[in-house]
Amino acid sequence: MTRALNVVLGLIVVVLVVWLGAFAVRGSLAAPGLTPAEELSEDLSDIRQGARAEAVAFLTLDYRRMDEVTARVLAGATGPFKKQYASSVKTLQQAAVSQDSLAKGYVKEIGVGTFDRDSATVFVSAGSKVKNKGTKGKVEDRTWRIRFNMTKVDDRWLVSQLEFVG
Amino acid sequence: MAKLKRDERLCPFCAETIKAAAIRCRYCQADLPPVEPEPKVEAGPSEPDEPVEADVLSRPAAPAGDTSRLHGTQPATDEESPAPPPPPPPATTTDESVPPLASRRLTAVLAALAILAAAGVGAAWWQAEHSSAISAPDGTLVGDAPRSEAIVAGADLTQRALSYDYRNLANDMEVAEARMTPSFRKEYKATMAAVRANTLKNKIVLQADVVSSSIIMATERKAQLLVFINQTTSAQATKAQQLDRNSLIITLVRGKGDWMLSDLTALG
Repeated sequence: MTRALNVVLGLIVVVLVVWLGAFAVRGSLAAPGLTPAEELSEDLSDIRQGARAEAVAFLTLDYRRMDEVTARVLAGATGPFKKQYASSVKTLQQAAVSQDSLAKGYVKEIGVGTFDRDSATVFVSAGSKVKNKGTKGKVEDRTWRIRFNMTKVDDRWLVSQLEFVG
Repeated sequence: MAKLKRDERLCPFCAETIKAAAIRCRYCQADLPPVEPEPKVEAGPSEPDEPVEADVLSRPAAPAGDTSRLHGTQPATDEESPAPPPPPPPATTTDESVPPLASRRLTAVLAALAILAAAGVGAAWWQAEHSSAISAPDGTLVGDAPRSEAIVAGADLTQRALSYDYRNLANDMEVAEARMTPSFRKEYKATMAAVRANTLKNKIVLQADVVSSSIIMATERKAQLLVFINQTTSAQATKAQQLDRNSLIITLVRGKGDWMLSDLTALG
């Protein structure tokens, strides 16, 4: 009886000591689940990912499939920006079709300003290769400086406000 | 007579049923050599248990001729001793001598160790959960204050490096160079040497206004920032003025003190 108890206790001690060693070597990684710092770090990469996707979606135009183009923007949007964009979808579609607009958005760099668990300010240096009736068939490369306010909604980082930085 | 249980044996002196682990008979008070628990337990070579032998034989209370009975139960102790019983732990002065693994004392020690280790793990875990969250385990700076500090330093150092006035060139350069790494300072000096003549001739004033500063990536030692600047170039000689809206990637490094500018690249 005592022998079994000792064996069990011995195993418990070994496990605990190994765990303690893990804390010493790997720091807070040894804690189960995510520590606040790890959660913030994860948020940061989710914020960047969300911002990149939305910037590309927003700067991309294709007069042949505007429904798809605008749906993609709305999928990454929330709050005031979503409202604003949704209300201008029709105008945008008409303009794109009348101008044969094609634009391919791309992101050069993303910087995150202040952020917490639910909101973030993000700056995006982006570009778009634009071709429409106005460019007379030539592709023009335009650069943009964009500021996003992002909000976490159901574990997804969405753009709640967009403005071009002058 | 009841059958002997696994943990019982007969006292070699009075033949009463006693605990196998006993080292003194509860009936006749005779001192007993400890029983070997299992033949395989102590297979390694160990010291012959002379103390035990001596103890048994020197007991005046032991009746003469008892060695034969002793032999009956304990053949191994006396003769070949291929696997003599482990000497009783010095601390076990109670009336039970038990194999080490079944010792109550060991239980106590292990329990104490387990509690101690659990407390240690608990403390480390608590610390991990409640740490000030300055940086994540991968080094990413996540704390509010250090991030703000890097953002502000990025804005300040960019402004210093990209603003100068022909009337105050030496001083402006000194201010900018004060917070540059040696290698970037060299690069900056070379650039400034190249524009110096034109700056003085055309009476150029360069004013960089930082519109935003944000973090691309940052650890406690190195940070890359995305800085939007509006740069006004005024040539007072010709009254010409130009505004450039630029996006820059700047790199900051830090030893023990302040952030230093180590690179500055304009995004196309």
